[in-house]
Amino acid sequence: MRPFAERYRAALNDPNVRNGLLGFQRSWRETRDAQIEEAEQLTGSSFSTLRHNLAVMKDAVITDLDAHVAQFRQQAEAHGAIVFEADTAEDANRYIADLCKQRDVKLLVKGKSMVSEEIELNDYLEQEGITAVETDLGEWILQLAHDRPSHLVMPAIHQRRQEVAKILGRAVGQTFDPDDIPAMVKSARTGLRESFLAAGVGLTGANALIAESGGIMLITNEGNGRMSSSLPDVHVVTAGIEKIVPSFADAIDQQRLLPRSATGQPITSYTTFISGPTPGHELHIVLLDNGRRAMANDEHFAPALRCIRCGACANVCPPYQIVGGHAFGHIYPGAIGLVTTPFHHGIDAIAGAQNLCVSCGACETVCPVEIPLAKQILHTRRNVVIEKGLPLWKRATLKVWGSRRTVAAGSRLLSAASTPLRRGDVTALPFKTKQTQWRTPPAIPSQPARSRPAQWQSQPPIAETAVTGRRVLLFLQCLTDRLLPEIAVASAQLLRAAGAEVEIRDEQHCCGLPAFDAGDWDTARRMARDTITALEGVDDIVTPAPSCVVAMVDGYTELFAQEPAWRQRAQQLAGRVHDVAEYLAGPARLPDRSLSAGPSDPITVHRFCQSSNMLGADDRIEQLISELCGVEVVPLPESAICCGFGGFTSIGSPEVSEGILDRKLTCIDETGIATVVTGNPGCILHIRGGAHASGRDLKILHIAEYLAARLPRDS
Amino acid sequence: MDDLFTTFRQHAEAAQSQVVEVADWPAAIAFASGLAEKELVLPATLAEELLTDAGTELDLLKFRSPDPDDPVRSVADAEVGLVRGELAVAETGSVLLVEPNLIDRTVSMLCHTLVEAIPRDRIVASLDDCATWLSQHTASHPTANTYATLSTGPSRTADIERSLTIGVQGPRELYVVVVG
Repeated sequence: MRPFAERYRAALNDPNVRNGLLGFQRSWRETRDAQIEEAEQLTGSSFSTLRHNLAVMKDAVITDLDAHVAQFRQQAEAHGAIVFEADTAEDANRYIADLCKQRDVKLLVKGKSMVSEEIELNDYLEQEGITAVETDLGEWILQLAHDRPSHLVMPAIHQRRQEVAKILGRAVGQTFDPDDIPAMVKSARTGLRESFLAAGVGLTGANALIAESGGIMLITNEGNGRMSSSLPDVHVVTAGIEKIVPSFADAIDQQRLLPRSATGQPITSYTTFISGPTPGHELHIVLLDNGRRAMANDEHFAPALRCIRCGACANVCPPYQIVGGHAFGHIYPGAIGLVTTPFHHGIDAIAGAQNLCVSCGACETVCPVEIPLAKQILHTRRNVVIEKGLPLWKRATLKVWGSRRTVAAGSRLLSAASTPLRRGDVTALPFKTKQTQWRTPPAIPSQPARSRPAQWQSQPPIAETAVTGRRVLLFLQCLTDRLLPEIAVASAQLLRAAGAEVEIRDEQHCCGLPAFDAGDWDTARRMARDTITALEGVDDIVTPAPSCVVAMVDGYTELFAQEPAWRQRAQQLAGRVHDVAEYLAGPARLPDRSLSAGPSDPITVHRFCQSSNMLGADDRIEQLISELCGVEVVPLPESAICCGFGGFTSIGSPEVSEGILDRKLTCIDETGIATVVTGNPGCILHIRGGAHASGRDLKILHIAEYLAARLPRDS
Repeated sequence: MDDLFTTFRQHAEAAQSQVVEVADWPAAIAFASGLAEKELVLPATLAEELLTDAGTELDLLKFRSPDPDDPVRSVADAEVGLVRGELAVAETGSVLLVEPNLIDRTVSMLCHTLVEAIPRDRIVASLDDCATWLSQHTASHPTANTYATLSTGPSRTADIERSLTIGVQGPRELYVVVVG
């Protein structure tokens, strides 16, 4: 496979990739959501219950793989199958090549099998003089084009019809009208028929290995799986050992979520259950380990073995939409590829691609087996950093950002230096870079939030609330403190309006999120300890930055997994820290219509991805605005999809960040609304910069800013 | 029973199957042969059963079964095939085809138009019922092979630009005939 940098560049240079995937992601979302809802009605259980049950079933297998493999093997053999346990890719390839040679087979037909991609079987067989013909239409097209799958379920999703017409035309000696897709599809039937009839071996994957029967469940739409497993005299199944499920009932539970999550179908055209060879034929089942037992023994990564290869994680992934599966992944594309690749193909194979993840957590929300993908990707990143170190620019940035005093001095200096270039919220640089041409950098204020208590101390309470008289510690958050102090001021004003006493502490700086996200956990831990220490002793801590709440709630648990004392302190903090929007919608809720004075122009809301995906916030901000202000909220299409900031992604892979931001800005354009309210400072810097660079006249406001501007003023 | 049929029909049609109700087996066969311009292909086992059990007077000249010497090529690209399903599943509009022998499987696999006949009393509510059937079937055949397919609608693909296209390797048209 080509190096990551080349694949990344190629993907960026092909607009078909992002355009095709944008359409795909949007239509998939609609059909998948409708089908999941149908499954909920059908079973009387919620998606979260259904997927939890599936995860529990898969975990029971993963925690006792050997016993399940033994049971599967015993049943398979009882029904007349031959089972081969392959420790490595080489073992599996060797077995299949030898089998072909022993049976004097020169031609093998294949149904879709990601395991065969994982072990690079086709290349291996070719070197042994055996021809493997892909019979899944998408895989066949790719094979003819010497290309690779870029999606688990839709392998040729990156190919346009014009290309496909040429590829198939060459293969079957016909000219195709690119708009006549049925004619192209038909050619697969005629073009592959002779291969089916002549092949001595048919190879398929398995969607499940059923221990109860020692057989497989095979899910296809085209009918090629049935033919590959039936027509040749020898049927070879390749499957990872993690595909085992205990019973038919479990396989059916998996089937209820798999096609719905994969293609948005309640069931595919063919769900086939095969145990034992067809009379007169042979059935060989190659059970592949290739790093799976090591994964099962790794506390962080074991849950990735639950994967049923539906591809849903890619279908909601913003960076995947920009670059596709050739760059976002290795052989296995999408979020799941970022976490399983090190076990199958080594950490180097994923070192480049894992940097593209923006940690938005969308993948986890649709995974039908509850794999904690976002967390696992951060572990992968950390392992990459341990193995290969941090790039110099990241190390330097984290070093500077790690010191409160350096940041204080630096921002004073930069503020003074950039004053002549300041244009409202932004700094208009006289030169362009890859990082700034599509996103104008923010203005750097001369005074951080921490020097501005006078701006909120005069705010009187406007109503009695559950926090009246309560002491609330405001965690400013580093970006807000230095770059967006008006958001901290607004947050403090609202807390005071709700009757709370607001306290800030000088020792506070950065929670460690940038270092944690970059995979530099030692630095992150140091900053987390400082933050925990700085924030102790008060019941309620409120911050305008939900990204930091996620870091304190989820991130600190990971950082202090081996340090019980710190973990306990982190847990106490996690229980007391609140995002300001959550706090204003909860205990500090001001009365309905108490902020109704002020502009009544409709606004739209960008939901911070992590708030939606990880903290379960849904329409909190919309509700606050409509209930407190009586202002109309126009729905923003794809409101909870990430804006593309993604921490270091916007610096290290600016093209991805820019592409995602463009998707967001285009959605904002569709609303026709000029004021966008959101909940996280990172999004604000990012969208503001993008709006300025693209010449859009948009006002991007934090929810605290929007609400505080409407507080009654003393006349 | 009627509820099950209605649910079955709804889901089968959503999967682009065409659902037909007939009174008895002769009517099912008449329907299937009506679809064929030349001939109807059906597995020999089904033909025999229909001759003996169903009291049907079959004019065997109009029918053909796969040739035991070449079960694949003899029915490759046959015009219309008729098979009998073991169960029908209302939840998904699927028909469970149980075809352990290749000679029975080629009909459902290779013909262009497939008719799946299923007795009305073989419609079950859910895939769970199907799982139970598969469990019992496997337990009662501890050493024999099983090849069972939940068939739901004609074969399809969306591999070219996500455009849903009907008819790839499997049948292009699928009829489910509910008998009785």
